[in-house]
Amino acid sequence: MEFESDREEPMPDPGSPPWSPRRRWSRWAVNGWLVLHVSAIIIAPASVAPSSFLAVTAWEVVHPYLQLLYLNHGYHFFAPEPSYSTLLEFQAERADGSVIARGRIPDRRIVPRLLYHRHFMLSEHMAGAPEEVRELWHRSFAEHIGRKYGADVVRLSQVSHYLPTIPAVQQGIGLDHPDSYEVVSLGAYRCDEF
Amino acid sequence: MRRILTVPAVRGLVERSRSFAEGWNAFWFTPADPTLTGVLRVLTGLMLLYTHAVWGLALDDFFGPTPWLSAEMVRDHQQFEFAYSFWWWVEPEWMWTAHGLSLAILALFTVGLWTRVTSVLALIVAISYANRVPMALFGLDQINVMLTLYLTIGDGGRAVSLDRWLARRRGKGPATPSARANLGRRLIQIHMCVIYFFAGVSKLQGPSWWDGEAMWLAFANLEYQSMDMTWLAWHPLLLNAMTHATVLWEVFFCALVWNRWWRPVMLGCGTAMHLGIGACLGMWTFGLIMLVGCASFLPDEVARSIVSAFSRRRAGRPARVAIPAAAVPASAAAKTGHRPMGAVVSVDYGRHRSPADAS
Repeated sequence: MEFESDREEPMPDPGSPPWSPRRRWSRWAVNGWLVLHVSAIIIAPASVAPSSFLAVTAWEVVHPYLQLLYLNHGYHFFAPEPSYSTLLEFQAERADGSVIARGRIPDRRIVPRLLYHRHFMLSEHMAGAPEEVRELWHRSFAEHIGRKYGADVVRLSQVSHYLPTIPAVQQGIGLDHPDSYEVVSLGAYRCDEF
Repeated sequence: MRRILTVPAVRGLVERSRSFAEGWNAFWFTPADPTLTGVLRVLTGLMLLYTHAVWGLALDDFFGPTPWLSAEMVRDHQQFEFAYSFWWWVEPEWMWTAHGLSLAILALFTVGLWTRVTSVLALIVAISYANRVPMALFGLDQINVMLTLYLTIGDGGRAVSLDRWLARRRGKGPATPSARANLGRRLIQIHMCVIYFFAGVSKLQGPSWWDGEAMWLAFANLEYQSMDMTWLAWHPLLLNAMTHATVLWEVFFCALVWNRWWRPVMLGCGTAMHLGIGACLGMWTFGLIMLVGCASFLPDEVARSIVSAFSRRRAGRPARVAIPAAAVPASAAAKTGHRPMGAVVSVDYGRHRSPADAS
C-alpha cells in the first residue's frame, strides 16, 4: 500500500508552471462536489416540516444522494419540545388463555443502556408511525414476541407515560405515579396467522 | 476584454472573486497534519465497535428470522428510499458470520490497518446495520455514519494507525501533511455546525424552549432518566437558565466556534452539555460521539500531545532495540534509512501568508 503517493502538490504560484489540465479538472470536480454536498446536508434538516416549497423542492433533488450515504436527517433533537414517552406492553398466551410471559419495552432490566435505548426507540417510533402502517408494525412486534415465547396469542397495548409538572412533583407526585400512565389496547394477534 | 478589466468596478469584482477563491482553497485544501484525523478515527472506530458489538447481544431479536422489525415492515417504510443493506441478502444461518465479519472490519478500521479499504467497508457496515433496523436508531447512528464517511474521505488511516507503523518499518517517515486530512476535518466541522444550528432553530418552534421549561420536560421523563433530577423542581430559575443556554449555544455554535477567543468557550459548554446528556439522560454513547465530532475543532497541537503522551507511555516500557540508537537524529536517520521530518504544518484558519507578507 502506498502512503506517500497522495502527498499534495503545492499551490502554483505565479512563477511556477500551471497545473496540468487533468489536475485542474479534478480540482473543479472536487469543488463542485463540495458545493453540492454542503448544500445537501443543509437542505436535509431544512426540509423537515414545517418547511418552504423551496426547501422541499431542493430536497426532492438531493434526497437520493443523502439516503445513499445515510445523511438524510433532520437533527431535531428534543424539538419542537421534549415529549412524553410511549411504551409497548405485551402478554404472550397459550391457546387456553394461560399467560407465558408479560413484558414492557423499554424494560430497565435490559442492559447495557444502549440496548435499552434501542428497545425504547422501537416503541417511540411506533407512536409516530403513520396511521395506515401501524397495523403492519403491530403485527411485526406480535410475530416476534409470539415466536420468542412460543405463544399462540399475543396481546399488545400502547402505554403513554405523561410527564408531571413542576408543581405536581413539588407536591410529592413521583415520575412513576400510576395516573401518569394511559394504556390503549392494540389488539390480540393469533400467532398461527403469521 | 483587457479594457473591461481596467474598469474599477469590474476589477474590484475580479479581485474579490480571486480573494474568495483563495480563501475557499485555503479553507478546504490547505495540507494539514493528519494526526487529528487519526485520533478521530480511533475514537469513532471504538464507538462503532461498541455500537455494533451491542447489536450482538440481541442479534436474533433485531436481525434474526423473526425480528422486531420484519422485512415486510422495513421494506414498506423504505419503498421510496435509496436505502441499501447487506442484511437483506444474509440467510439466518449466516447471521453470526456476517456479524463477526462486520466487527472484524470495524476493528481493522479502528486500529488503522488497510484503512483505505477498511474505512469504505466500515461505512458500508454502519449504513447496512442502520438501514436494516431504522426504527431502533437514534442520533448516535447518524453521527457514527457521518464521521466514518468523512474519515474515509479524509484518509483517516494516514496517521495513528498500523498502516503508518508498517510504513515506518518499511523505511518511510512520519505522516506528512495532507489536503485530504484537512478536507475530512473541515467536512466534520461544517456538518457539526449544521447539526447544532438546526437542533437549535428547530427548538424555537416549541413553547417550552421559550418559557424555560423544556429542560424540566427532559429531566422528568422517567424512560430517559438515569439520574434523579427532580430536585430541580425546587430550582425553576436554574431550569430556565439551562433551557435558554442550550438554545443559545446550539444556534450560535456555527458562528462562534470559528472565533479563536470563543472556540474554547463553545467547546467547553458543549462538553458540559454532552456529558450532562450522558449522565442524566442515560445517552452516554450519543454524548460521547458528539464530543468526538466537536474534537475536530481542537488544534493540531492537542492531537499531537495526546499521541505523544501515549507514545511516551509505550516508550517507557522495556523493549528490545534492534538498531543502536544514535544521539544525533541525522546519524540515526542515516543508519535506519528514515528521512528526518521537519516541523509538521498546523492548520491555518486564515488566509495563506507567505514569508514576504509576514515580514
